[in-house]
Amino acid sequence: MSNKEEIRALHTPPMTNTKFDTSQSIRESYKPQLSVTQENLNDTQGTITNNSPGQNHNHVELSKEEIDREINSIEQLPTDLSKLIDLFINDLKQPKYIKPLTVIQLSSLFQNFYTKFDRASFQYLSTIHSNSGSIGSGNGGNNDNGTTAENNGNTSGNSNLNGNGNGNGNNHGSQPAFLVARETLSSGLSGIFARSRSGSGSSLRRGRRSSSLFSIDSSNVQPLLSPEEIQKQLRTNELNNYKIDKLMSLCEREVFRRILEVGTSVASPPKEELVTRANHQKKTFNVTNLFRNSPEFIEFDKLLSEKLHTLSNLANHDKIDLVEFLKLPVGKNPNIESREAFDETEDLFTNLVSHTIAPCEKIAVILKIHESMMFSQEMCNDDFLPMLVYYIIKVCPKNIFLNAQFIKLFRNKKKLVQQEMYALTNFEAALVFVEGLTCTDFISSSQEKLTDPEKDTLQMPISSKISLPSPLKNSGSVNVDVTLHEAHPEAIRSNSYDGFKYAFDTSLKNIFGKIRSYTPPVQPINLPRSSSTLSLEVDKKASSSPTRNGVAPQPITTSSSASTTTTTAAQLHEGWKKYKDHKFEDLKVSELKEIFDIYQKIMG
Amino acid sequence: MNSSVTSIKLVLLGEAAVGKSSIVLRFVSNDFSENKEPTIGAAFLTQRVNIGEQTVKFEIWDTAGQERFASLAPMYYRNAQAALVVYDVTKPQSFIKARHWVKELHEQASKGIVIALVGNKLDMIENGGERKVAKEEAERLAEEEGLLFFETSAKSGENVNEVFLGIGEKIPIKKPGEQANEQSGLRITDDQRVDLTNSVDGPVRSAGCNC
Repeated sequence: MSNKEEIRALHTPPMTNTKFDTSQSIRESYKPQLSVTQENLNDTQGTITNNSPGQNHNHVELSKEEIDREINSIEQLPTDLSKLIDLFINDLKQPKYIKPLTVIQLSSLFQNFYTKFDRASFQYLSTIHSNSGSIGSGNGGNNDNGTTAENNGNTSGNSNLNGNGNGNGNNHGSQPAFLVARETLSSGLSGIFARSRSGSGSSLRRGRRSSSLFSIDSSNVQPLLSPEEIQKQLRTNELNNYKIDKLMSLCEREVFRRILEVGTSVASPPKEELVTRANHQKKTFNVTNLFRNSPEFIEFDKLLSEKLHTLSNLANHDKIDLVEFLKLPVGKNPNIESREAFDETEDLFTNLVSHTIAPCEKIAVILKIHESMMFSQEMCNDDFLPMLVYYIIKVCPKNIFLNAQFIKLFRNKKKLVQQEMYALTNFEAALVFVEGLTCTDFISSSQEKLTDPEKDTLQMPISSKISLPSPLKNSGSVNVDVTLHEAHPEAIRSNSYDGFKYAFDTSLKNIFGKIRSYTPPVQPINLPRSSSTLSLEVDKKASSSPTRNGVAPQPITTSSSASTTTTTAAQLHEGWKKYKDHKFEDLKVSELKEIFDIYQKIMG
Repeated sequence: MNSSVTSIKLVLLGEAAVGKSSIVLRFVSNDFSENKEPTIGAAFLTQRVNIGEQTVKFEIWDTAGQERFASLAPMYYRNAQAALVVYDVTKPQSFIKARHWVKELHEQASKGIVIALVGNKLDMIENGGERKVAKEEAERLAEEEGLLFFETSAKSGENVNEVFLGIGEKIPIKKPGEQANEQSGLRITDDQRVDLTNSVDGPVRSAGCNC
């Protein structure tokens, strides 16, 4: 091994020095010893995938079963986290924005919420883990040696970094209990960072470490974690990451499910209608509602649908030969045109546009569409893309463009990476290809067969008629983020009374409709300040408090606006009298502010 | 999830049937790990490689090579840190197309993108086929445009790993600490990702002076 390294060191120039020709060096270094390189490459991959503990301490390999077991144990969101969703939806419905939010601004709010939820999930799991750690250590002690271990579990939980390992002096026989108790000390990331760096030594040091741990005068010495303990901690961390992923996808589902429950209609419909609508909506979620304030998207989608229908008709009436036009790989897979393949894909498309709600569910369907098209593990994009275009034209799914944009904007950006991102890009590329198709793309014999309306539809690319907001115009990637931060100056919040009045008509409510008042199941406004173990205060301050302290003290519906005026007058009258007998010198700042508010109301 | 893994988005460009995906499949097929990450055929693949002390994870994005789909390529190479421009050494037309890709990448892709020009199907020449693209010509192009250059055979595996190692070594990889400090929160990643925008001059900039 050292030999190989030496060879490499001799021939690989420092990458930071321009005087060396890197490509030349690499070529010269590796060419004569291709087998060595190959071996090296395999070695390194083996190291990573096989998790040889001696070489790679930082990597933890979890078996698929193990992950599945842990993940499947989470079936629904814990109440503490579920409350966050209630608060978010409640916050969305506050009339606090001067202008109706565009879909991009709305997406930004969702992405911010996902980030907060992610943090909260981490805190939640850390709390759970540290709690169960304490209990576990207590039990372990009872099972093994008796009361000492139990005490260790409790005391150590309180004295994190001092690491009171010496308390285990009486506990020589119960190593497992000791390990569990020690784990309590270092639950959470801080614990790991604080301790694992000193525990990264080899197992040879273990004897010495133990002796210092158990000695009486070691109270100020921070005990080291053994490699096993580090592994255990890392495993817990890794599992927590998977759990957070699961919680995040549950969160995505739950947010949109609740938006569905709240309804999206503008007027308040009668009760019976509401029930029917709710049932209907559960089956068919219409993403169009979210794009209500961004009509360019809806228009684009409409034109694309028209184009797709035209192309589909042309293909069905043999006016164009799609297979030939797209150069489908029929030679490799003759089933492309079969009825079964079409039916299967059609079902998936229907599922995508009609029977799925959350973006994570929709992107999973897009991945399934790719899977269903796959006739070989070695299939490349020379084959995928034309097939995707073919099926999109043949199936003509409704609102396909809006669905793709919905995923792009509302899927948790942290998870919209790798193969999900690739599949979505492929999907979008297929749509961009279709929207850009014009008559001139087809052979002249096909062009002659077109009727006038067909020619009109295929006259020019849709993108030359409708300009979408800049981040989406390129439609290449979902780097929504950057644009969102630019395009979303905190959604133009207003603290002025004028803005407040205006907000009645033009608040975010208009996006979700002037919906029947939504009552979240658990404590809609009262934050889980005292009861919750989560430290959500910071998040709350960022999201909800501006609303409560500033613009909209309570959720106010448009229907109540008439009565509000009279109430205000009555309150105003009370306010006048309240400070009648006060002297200016005695007034507190808060009272002065109140008087100023009254003054402003009078002037208003 | 491993914090020391740096992700590199690598996009494959080149005319249809020059062997883009074959090169990648050859590169990836050396790894027989059980816990393979999900892929989309050979269109999207991932592969981890150790380069120095760093583990680099290549996310390899294939593009459709047909001329009809050429205008869609920017959607794929957006935010890519590396690109493999592949041509067939026996097809001069594919080399002309490769020139176009290189030009387009320089104009439209991320500023510090590392491009490797790869002449594939070397085995055909070794088996008596006629070379139609001179090595010198390709080398000249590589030199002019600041590209890495390799001639490979996906069939025999010749030079394939070197392409990826070369790219991995040329991409400026930040240490985990630096990465964390400079996180702007504006990028969509789950692992660390190389930010080419801060290192236009590649490795030179990231180097500290020893004197």
